[in-house]
Amino acid sequence: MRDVSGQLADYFDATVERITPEDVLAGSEVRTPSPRLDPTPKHQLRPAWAVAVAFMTTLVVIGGSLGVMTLLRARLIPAGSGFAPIAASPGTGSDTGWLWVVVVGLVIALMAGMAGMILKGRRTGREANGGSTMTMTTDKPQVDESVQKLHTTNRVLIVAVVVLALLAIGLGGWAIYQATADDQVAAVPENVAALLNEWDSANNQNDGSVADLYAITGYHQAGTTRLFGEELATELNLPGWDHEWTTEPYLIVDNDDGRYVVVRGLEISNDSMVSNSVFVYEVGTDSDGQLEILQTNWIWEN
Amino acid sequence: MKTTDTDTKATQAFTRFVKEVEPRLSYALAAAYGPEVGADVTADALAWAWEHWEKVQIMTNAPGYLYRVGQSKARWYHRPRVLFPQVPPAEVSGLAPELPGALGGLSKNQRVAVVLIHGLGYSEREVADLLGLSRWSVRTHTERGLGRLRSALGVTVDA
Repeated sequence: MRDVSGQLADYFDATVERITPEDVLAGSEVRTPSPRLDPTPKHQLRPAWAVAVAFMTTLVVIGGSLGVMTLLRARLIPAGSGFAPIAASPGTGSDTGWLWVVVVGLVIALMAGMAGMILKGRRTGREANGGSTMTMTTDKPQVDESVQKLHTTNRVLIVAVVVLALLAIGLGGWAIYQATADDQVAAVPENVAALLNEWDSANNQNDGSVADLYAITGYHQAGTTRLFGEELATELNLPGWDHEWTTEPYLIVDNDDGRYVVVRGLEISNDSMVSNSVFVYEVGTDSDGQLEILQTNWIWEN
Repeated sequence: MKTTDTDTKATQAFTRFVKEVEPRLSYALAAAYGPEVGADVTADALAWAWEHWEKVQIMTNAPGYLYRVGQSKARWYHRPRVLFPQVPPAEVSGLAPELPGALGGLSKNQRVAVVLIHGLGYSEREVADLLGLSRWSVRTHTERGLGRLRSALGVTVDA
């Protein structure tokens, strides 16, 4: 076996491309790339990386925004302050919100992957046509070569990153808007609102007519006690107690089969105490299409 | 006319400079990043030297500075999967087939030190200036690199 020194000398003599002064000087004067100085293609946007980066960026930005919003909302509603407004519209709960983040992330990742593949295809096409994806960097002696090269070779990558960042920022804003918009309560349908107003009027008459608005099987539940028929009016309009609605009605359930659940803040008071409470209506539609109250529930603080 | 004379002198001085510096730089960067990327970044570094010739020509350690320039340029190149390719026996005889793989198993500084000192006969001082290391560090890199190469190639005595 030959000595290491000799082998090293032979190996590098055989493989190292030597650079002559003429190469350097010629390269600084002419624009035609020489095979010797044509550099190896540099870092390019790869579809797989684009997909991964886009997906992770989306998850971090939008997911982070939603997380911050959730934390902020939790801090803004102090514990023990009675009830908080009930977010309404079906399908906008936090569970589906996170699902949307993933879906949006996948869509953006798909778009980024397609962009990466298109760019790669163009690059490959140029190379197949004998062109070079690179430009000589020694043909502009007046410009700092390192800066020039950075600008040239990374332009595609930088543009892609900027576009993805803008998309992520836009989607983050959209997600924040959606999270805020969740506080907007779905409007109570007019026929349901009319029924509830009728219920309120009948209740205030304290003559038992309120019971007519309930379905035959309907009942009012106060605490653990169920009250039917004429007992309803007595329970709902207790002598010596005043009541005042403190919020608008919030629709929290709207099934396609004509079933609705509505909640509304209620303050009850007498000479010695004031109590905040929530009143819950379950409204149904009978076979004739008539709206009736299936049950009501009164939840108050002890 | 005066400008032309100045340009000519600068060109001549740069030509002398390249002839003196290029071998060490070419082999060092080839040892560090493989022959393929090494040639590219050597060309880049020398082109940079020509563009900044006024600054480079008064440097006390221009080869070391250009080696740094080459290192910076190398960051922007894709490294080939195999840094050190096999050389067909028809081109060079007597090379151990394990040599390219063994070179890839050394650290960058070990490769540069061993190749320049044991392959090309440069002094420890010259290599230390190039790498920006002390002579003792270069000696350590050389000994360790040489030992690993010998072990990989099955050479017990470097005759």
